[in-house]
Amino acid sequence: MVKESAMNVDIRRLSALFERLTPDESWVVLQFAEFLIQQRESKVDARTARRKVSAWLVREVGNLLMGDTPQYIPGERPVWRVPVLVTSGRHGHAAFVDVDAQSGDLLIDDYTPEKVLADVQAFVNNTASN
Amino acid sequence: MALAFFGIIKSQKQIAAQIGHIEGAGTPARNITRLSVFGVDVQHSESGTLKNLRQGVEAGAAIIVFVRTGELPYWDKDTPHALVIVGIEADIIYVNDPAFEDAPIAMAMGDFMLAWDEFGSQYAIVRRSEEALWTRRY
Repeated sequence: MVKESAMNVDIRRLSALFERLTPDESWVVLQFAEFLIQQRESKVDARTARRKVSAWLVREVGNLLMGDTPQYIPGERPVWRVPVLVTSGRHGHAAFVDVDAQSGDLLIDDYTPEKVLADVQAFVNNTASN
Repeated sequence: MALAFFGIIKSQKQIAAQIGHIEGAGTPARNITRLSVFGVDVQHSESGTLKNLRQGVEAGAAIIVFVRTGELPYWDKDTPHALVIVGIEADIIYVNDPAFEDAPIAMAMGDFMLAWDEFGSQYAIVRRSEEALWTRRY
């Protein structure tokens, strides 16, 4: 008889535990698991990513825009996805800017300011017509 | 507000047209240098320090800083904003805030630094054009 690996046992235990949780509790556990992965994979924290995007937005695009709470996107090149928050009139997210979670570099090019601006104007126009 | 500091009176419409205001987005902070057409010399910088601000104030320049109001104790909204620095003491900083009639407004240095840090400690030094040589020393 083949002995079950420790990892398989852990997975079965986790699965059994998960089934006993309420949806809200499952969500908290998932958030915590994602947090643990972020801590391991990311050298840049969420606040730093948001500040970098906010500074860039105010300098290059418009002084009524700022970064909102980032979302961690795992993968080969993990990034912080920072929503662009429109603060004039009705508040809301009009676009996003990614920050490399390892290097802290803004993932932008020469056209990004124009793209963000177009998204902001579409958001403002859409808001005005509703 | 910074132009009025030097007795230069321009309407909001004139200023907005000059610096390229876009509805919903506002104005890129670096465009503030375009105010030079009104007879001032403007330098926009990032990663500023308290020393930069203090030197500017002591030399009689108008110092504009870009801040997040959510960190300012006298604001109840969270939005990007610009202030003019008018005085600095050890733990207190004095600002003119165009959103409030009272001036100057005093606040704890720690609150100000948090608000300023949010946008990379960006600031602009505004001087009358004939004083343009002054900042080159810094």
